[in-house]
Amino acid sequence: MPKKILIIEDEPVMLKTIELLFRKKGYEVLTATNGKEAMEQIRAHRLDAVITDVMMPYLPGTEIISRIRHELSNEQIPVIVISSVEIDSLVEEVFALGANDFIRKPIVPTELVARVEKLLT
Amino acid sequence: MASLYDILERLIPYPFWVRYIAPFENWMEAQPPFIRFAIGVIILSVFSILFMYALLIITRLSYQWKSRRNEKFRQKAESLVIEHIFLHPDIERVSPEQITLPDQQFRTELGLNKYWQRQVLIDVVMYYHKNFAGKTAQILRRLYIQLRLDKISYRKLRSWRWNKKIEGLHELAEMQLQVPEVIMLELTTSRNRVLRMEAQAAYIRLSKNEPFKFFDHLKENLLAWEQLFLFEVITHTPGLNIPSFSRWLNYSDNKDLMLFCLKLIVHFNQFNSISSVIKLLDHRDARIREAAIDALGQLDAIDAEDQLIRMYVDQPTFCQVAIIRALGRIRSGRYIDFLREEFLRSQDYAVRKEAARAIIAHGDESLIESLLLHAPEDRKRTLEHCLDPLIKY
Repeated sequence: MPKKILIIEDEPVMLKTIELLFRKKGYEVLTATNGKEAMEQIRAHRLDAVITDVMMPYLPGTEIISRIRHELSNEQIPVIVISSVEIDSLVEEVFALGANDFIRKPIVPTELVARVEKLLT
Repeated sequence: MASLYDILERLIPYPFWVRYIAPFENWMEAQPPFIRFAIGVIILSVFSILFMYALLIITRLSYQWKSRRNEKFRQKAESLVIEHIFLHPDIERVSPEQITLPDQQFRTELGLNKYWQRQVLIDVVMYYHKNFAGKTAQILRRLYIQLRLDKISYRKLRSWRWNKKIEGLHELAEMQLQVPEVIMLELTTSRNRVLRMEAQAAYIRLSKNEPFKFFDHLKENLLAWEQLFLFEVITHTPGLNIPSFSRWLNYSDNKDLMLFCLKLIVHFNQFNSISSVIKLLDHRDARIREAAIDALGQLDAIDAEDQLIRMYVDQPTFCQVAIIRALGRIRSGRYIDFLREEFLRSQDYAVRKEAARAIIAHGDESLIESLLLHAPEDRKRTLEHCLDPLIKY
């Protein structure tokens, strides 16, 4: 049974590229382009990992992490945050909210896949 | 000279002319000249408006058609980039140089004969290069050069349109390609602010030997926004050769540049620049003095304390506040009595508040306790305000 990953990213090109990277590795990939869609997907599926951007319409990535960890009491799902914002306070905030990893843009595709795989093993 | 009627008579088919225009012509001839003129103006205006509407519709339709065409081409280009670069079967195993470039596939499937096709592909390559690093970025760079897309970027640099020049600079800087320094230096002093800013950023990113040489020639003011933009470039360009920024404190007349250099000196902790910063304490511009005082505080310049105290009485309030803030940062303890006196005696609230903060920064618990017990009520409230960890300002 392939592992199921949700990718939340508002830029369609980035989303498509990351999605295909993980599909190539044999994962089942779900996508969402905004926070609302993402929460619907999270509630509807049993996910193995969530990869999320921070700045997004409707719900920011920080809010999504917070809801995953508190509202859904889904504490075991690894959450990987990707962002081009390089403010230390943001990094601290996402880790405080319960994110498992933080990757800065520009992303190294092999590194992203490796980090997700490490969290899933 | 042929009249308008003569020209129209020749252009319009004869039966139409006889039926519609000729009676109108007869009627017009019977009217006074100003009425004829007014009718002429009305007819001309109506035709002009119709022509403009037609032009507008054609332009919009053409724009929409071009957007759709470009979007279709963009999607095709993106699919090729993903298929041949991101999903390349060997990308994880071999180095980027060992991967065979898919340039032939790109030429065959995209054509790339027309300028717009190459421009859309440049946009796609730039987007990926900006958002992805590592091997994929290196392969994208090789592909950009192999497909000779760099030629278009270089050509843009010679364009008379400033926005094209910026595009060219952006593309070449993103791909880390060499641009003749003479061209870039000239653009760093351009009268167009946006072009100047982009050229300065590109110069920092691309110049191998002296990335800050354009500081020598900078006569124009640097707005706060431009300083922020340059700061971002300076702090995010990997492997940048950082000089001692005190050089421009000593030689430049550009006050904005001096203020910017002071910020850079602090950011890069250039302690060897402290003596040059101290010299600025005598500068006639109070704005520069304030920035220099702030910089000395942030650099923990203990040697500057005596001079700061000496100059204190002659300074405007904002410089006095800066001096007290600097003493609070240096925290040598030698001027704690001075801080206490300022806290108790100063008539200015900003000075009192900064003095309270400086005293707290010194960590002298007995002094703080004594002030909380014996200071006048308003001073005590200021101190309590500064002691509250939940209040930031």
